[in-house]
Formats: sequence, C-alpha cells, structure tokens
Amino acid sequence: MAKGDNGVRCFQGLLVLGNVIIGLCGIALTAECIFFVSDQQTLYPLLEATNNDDIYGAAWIGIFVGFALFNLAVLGIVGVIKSNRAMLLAYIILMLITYAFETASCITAATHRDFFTRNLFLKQMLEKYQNPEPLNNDDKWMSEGVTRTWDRLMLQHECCGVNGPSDWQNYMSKFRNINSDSEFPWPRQCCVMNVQGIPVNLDGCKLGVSGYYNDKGCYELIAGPMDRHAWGVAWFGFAILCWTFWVLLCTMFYWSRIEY
Amino acid sequence: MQALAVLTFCAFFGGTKMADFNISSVSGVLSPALAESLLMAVPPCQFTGANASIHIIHPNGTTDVRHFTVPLCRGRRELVSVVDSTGGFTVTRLDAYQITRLTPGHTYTISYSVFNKDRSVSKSNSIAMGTLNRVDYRSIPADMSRSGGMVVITVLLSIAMFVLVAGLIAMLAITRCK
Repeated sequence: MAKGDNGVRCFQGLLVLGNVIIGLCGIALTAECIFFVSDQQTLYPLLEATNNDDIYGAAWIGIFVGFALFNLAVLGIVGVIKSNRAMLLAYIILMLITYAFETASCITAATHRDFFTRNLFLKQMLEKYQNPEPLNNDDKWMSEGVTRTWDRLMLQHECCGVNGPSDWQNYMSKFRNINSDSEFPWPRQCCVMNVQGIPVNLDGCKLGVSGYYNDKGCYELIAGPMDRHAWGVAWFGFAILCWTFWVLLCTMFYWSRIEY
Repeated sequence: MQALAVLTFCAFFGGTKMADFNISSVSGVLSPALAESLLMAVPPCQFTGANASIHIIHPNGTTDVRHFTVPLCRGRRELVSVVDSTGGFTVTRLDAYQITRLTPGHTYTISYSVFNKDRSVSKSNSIAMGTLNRVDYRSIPADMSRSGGMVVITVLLSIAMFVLVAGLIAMLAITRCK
C-alpha cells in the first residue's frame, strides 16, 4: 500500500487502538465474571434448587470469553502492524466464534434474570426449607442447601422469609409439616438474637411482639446481588460486543484491502 | 330511642343478657390471628386472681372450654405475658391468652366467664375471630415477565452477528473475485 500511506497508517492506528480496548475489556470481563462465580453472598444453592442457575453458566462463559478476547486482541494488533493476511484471517474467524459465545452469554444472563421473582423464591423456600422427606439424593442435597442458605440469610441480615414472617402463616410448607404452629409460627432464625445467638425473648418472638422478631423480608437481599450479577454479565458483555462489532468490520475491510 | 339502641347493642353482642365486661383483640403484635392460634386480651384488672374460663365455639357448633387464672395487673396490660428483663428492670410487654390447636381458615366465637369471690359469674361479650387461611404453596403462580432489556439485547446482538457473518462472506467473495 504505497499510495495514501498516511491514511493507511492512521487506519492501522485505529485498529490497534480498537484491539487494545478489546484486550482491556476482555481482562475486565474475566475479572468481573470470576467475582460473580465466586458467589460472595453464597446464594448459589437457592438458584441450584430452582434449576435456574444459568446466570452462573453465563458468567463461566464470560470468564473464558474475556480471556480469549485478550489473546485475540494481541493477535489482532500483531496482524494489523505486520499486515499479515493469514494472521488477520485467523483473527477474524476466531473473533467471530468468540463473539458468538459472548452473545450467548449476554442473552442467557439477561433472559434468566427475568425469572428472579418473589414467587419463585417463596415457592422454593416453602417447598424445600427444612424438608423432612426429600424425594431422592438430589432433592436432599438441594433441600439442605436451601435450608443452610436461608438460615444464614435470616440470621446475618436480620430478616424473615421472602416477604416477612407472614409467609410461614399464609402458606402451607414443609416447615409447617414438622413444626407446630404455636411453638414455631416462624423459624427461630426470625427472632431478634443477642450476641450469643439466643433469642432475646423467645415468647415475644413466637407471639410476634414488635421488637422481638425480624419483620422485614429477605427478598431484596437475594434479588439485589443476583440482579447485579445478571446485569453485569449481560450489559457489560453487550457493551464489549458493540465495540468489537465495529473493530471486526473495520478489520474485515482492512484485510480485503491488503495486497498479496 | 336510647333504650332501643342499648338493647340492640346487647342483642348484637351476645343475646338478651348484657355482658359484664368486654373483650377485644390486641395491638402491638404482628397479627392477633395466626393460622392455628388466636390471641385474646385477658379479662380486666378487677378480676385479677380469679378463676376464669374461655369458651371457644367452633364452626361445627362444638364448644371448647379452657380454664386459667386471670393474671396480675402490671402497668400496661394487654396480651400474653412477655416479660422483658433487660436493663435491670422488668417490663411486661404483653398479657394475653393464646388459643392454640385451631384450624386455619375457620371463624370461632369466643367469650369469657369469670368466677368471682362472691360466687357470682361475670360473663363477657362474644366476639368472632377467624384464623388465617393457609394457601397451598403449589398454587403459587410462577409469574415471570420479559423485561425490555432482554428483548433489546437479543435483537441487537442477533442482528450484529448476522451482519458480521455476512461481512465475512462478502470479504471472502470480494477477495476471490480479485
């Protein structure tokens, strides 16, 4: 490309810059998805029990896509600088495959976020919390996970049920099957605890006397982190793909203009 | 007219005999009516220490009678004995009678009888209270609605993917033509 060298150099510079940004975004995507997969709030058992844990699948894809984007960005930068057709063709094809995977990850995360309604977690809590008769080993594993997670949530965040203690009164549940209503109108974890982890006033808690039981629901504490997880994977991935789209189109144009 | 109003009031609240005292539900708790129990205020302070009976008329007409001793009056007197002993002093938060072993979704008629020291019997008015109805969790609808964001992401990324694949084919075709 002898003619218009300045224009070519400028175009190459833009492509290099585009790939640098893709590389940096790839690293950021990997780091973000590792953070989500590490499940700091330990809410995964709740999703696992709903058979609706695809946002974690999307995050796993995001980890590998981010890493691939970084490596391909390096390949792209070298290919553009050297104007090597073989390298750039490999870059374009591999980038398209990575693009497809990231598209799947974004759509999966955005789609499955819509499932996280109050009723989903309410039904699951009533069905699996302290379930005394799991159907099989799989159900036993899920019930134990749900019980452990809810116990920790209610104690740590001083909340009760999905919408409040009334959940345990308004609905039948596995918990109710093994606990009498007068002794356990709601789980003990709904009681206000002292520093030793003992209810401050057990009778007051059982009777619903204000100040001795936790009256707020736990839904916001579950949905908040999950929404952030899903939106983070979906929309950050979407932003990267928007940028990558233009870089790829420009690279395809550049490749077609490289002389043998 | 006033006498008529009083008689109507008495007939409404428990037959032709006027009640000696009134009973009521409570405040300061999550709900006086749970699914299998009800919380009732204890008889007033003038009956402290007396033997009392609570009459529970079930929806099928059977009557359940339970006996207790009217608790002492301590300051603010409402429902169930919940005593808070923190801070070096005792405060009674609640004084009440909890009626247990009830059936969800049923209405019960409740009244008191107190046996006085002079062997007379004081009776309260009757009030109707219903236990909470319990819904089967299997009937909870799994509501879910598609958000606009999901539609936008899906449409835009699908179009972008299509454009890129078309661009790749065009790129190869143009090179082949050259």
